[in-house]
Amino acid sequence: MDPIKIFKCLSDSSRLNIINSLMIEPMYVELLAERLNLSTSTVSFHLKKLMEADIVSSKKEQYYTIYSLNEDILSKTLKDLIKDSRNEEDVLRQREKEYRDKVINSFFQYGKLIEIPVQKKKKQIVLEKIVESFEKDRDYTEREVNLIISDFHDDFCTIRRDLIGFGLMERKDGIYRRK
Amino acid sequence: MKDINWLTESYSDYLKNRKSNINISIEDLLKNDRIDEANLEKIRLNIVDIFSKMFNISINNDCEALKEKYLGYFDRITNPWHINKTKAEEFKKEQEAIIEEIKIQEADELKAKFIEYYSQIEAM
Repeated sequence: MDPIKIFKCLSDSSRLNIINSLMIEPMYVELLAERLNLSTSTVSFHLKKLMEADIVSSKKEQYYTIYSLNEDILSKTLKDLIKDSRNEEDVLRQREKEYRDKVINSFFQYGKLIEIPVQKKKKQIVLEKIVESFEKDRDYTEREVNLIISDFHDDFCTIRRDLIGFGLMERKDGIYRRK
Repeated sequence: MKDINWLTESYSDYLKNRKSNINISIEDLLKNDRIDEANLEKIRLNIVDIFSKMFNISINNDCEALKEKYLGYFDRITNPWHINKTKAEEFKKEQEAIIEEIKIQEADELKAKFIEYYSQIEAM
């Protein structure tokens, strides 16, 4: 539960209207759009944000996706939401995860690496993401390594060398392995 | 008489009105604390701006040349949006897909309106 995300998400009158409608009954996008006089794409946009904040959840029912409120969050008091019960370690871990997600979102677009980061910390995160495409305990030829990397970026030589340099892969007699 | 001058003037007016209507809608949405929707409208406004500029540089005394040049921009400019929308759907990035859809929708509307005006001089 991220209180900032929840409060940011709630500070929009259309989203409050959606929540009010879902308080009556779970609904699908088209019905919400009709009742609130909004376009279906606008409703979908808001529902996505509400889902990211964990306020709304969805489930597939035949042809429709039905959206309903997450009562666990909504039944909390303002005090419960504001109170930060996480310990320092959790806060740091959360911050690290958010930073990592931010770097990945800004350097990757639809699975492709937009550019190789210059900053070492960012480069490490990007390389860690790329190395996930390699299986552990498996040998790869240089050609196979190049092919996998080229799915992300054309400059596979630099990335291949960086994967070794950053200690994420090892090379022995022309054979590569994920560490 | 509906000629090339009529087309240029009418379509330019339409684009101006479209911009002004979107601006009014943005103001209303902001007044009502609907910030995200206002931002989506700003995307629409940006698309109208782009195609207004493209229309201005397409203006020509020759109807056919104007039509070819202006409609050509729609294909060239919106192609990457279609690709991005497909990719966003593929990668389950719904918000990005919605934004690409809004851009495509607005461009389609502007294109349809131009064709509607153009057909009126063609029919003469």
